[in-house]
Amino acid sequence: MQNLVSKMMNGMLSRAGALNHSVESRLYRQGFTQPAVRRLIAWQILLTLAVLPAGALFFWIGLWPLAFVAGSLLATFNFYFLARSIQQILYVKYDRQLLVSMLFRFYGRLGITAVALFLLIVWCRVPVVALVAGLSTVVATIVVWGGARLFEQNAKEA
Amino acid sequence: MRKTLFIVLNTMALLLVGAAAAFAQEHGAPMLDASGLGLTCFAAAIGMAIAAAGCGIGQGMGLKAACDGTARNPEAGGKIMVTLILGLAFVESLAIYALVVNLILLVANPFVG
Repeated sequence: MQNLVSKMMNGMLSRAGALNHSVESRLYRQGFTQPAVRRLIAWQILLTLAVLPAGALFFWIGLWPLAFVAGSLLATFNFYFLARSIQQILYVKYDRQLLVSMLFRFYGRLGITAVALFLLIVWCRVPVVALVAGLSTVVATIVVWGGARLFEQNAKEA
Repeated sequence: MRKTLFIVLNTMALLLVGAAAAFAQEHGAPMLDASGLGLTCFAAAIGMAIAAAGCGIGQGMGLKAACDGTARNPEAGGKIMVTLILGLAFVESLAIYALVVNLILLVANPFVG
């Protein structure tokens, strides 16, 4: 029994590792050349991918899981495009077209977020606590990522 | 380490108890009159204005410092960018929380029928 459980755990871990690798390679192709940023966004995307089936499985409980999934998707969308635009600001050579496209993208992202939140809160009447918890997944990911980095640094120094 | 964990757990417990008490009051909520409604709208507007101003100033200062640092020392650009993204994500999440709270106050207020 113990052997079976350990085999299942190993299989799950290796699949998670493969998924992480595939997400990171896709992010690299999209221009996320900084390993730390790429890892952070990959973790956030993996968290959202893990939350999605859970929300679909537990939709019969009520709106809570769906609100959490919606908040998580919205936070991931925001975080991904924020990181992407900052990379472009700092690394791509400045020209006028870039500036205009950056402004449009920035305000477009904020507009989409505001409209989505409005629709979720006003029309769908989702539970706000679950929505805010979903939106906080980015903060949780950053905290966990920071802790992991600190742990790695301490392990290297020791 | 143990002290930090103790503080974090205590804060979370207090937040959970406070949130439960706040949501328990929803059922016996009094209805708002016209002046109360006006004050709510005013509070939502002022709240969003303060949140937008604070977050805008914070993001601007962060971006300015990052640009300064990268211009002075381009080799440190990667590390600066990671820190900048983290800071901006934190600040932006605060603005989004403020937007959620103000949307609740304006259009999904539990105290208005």
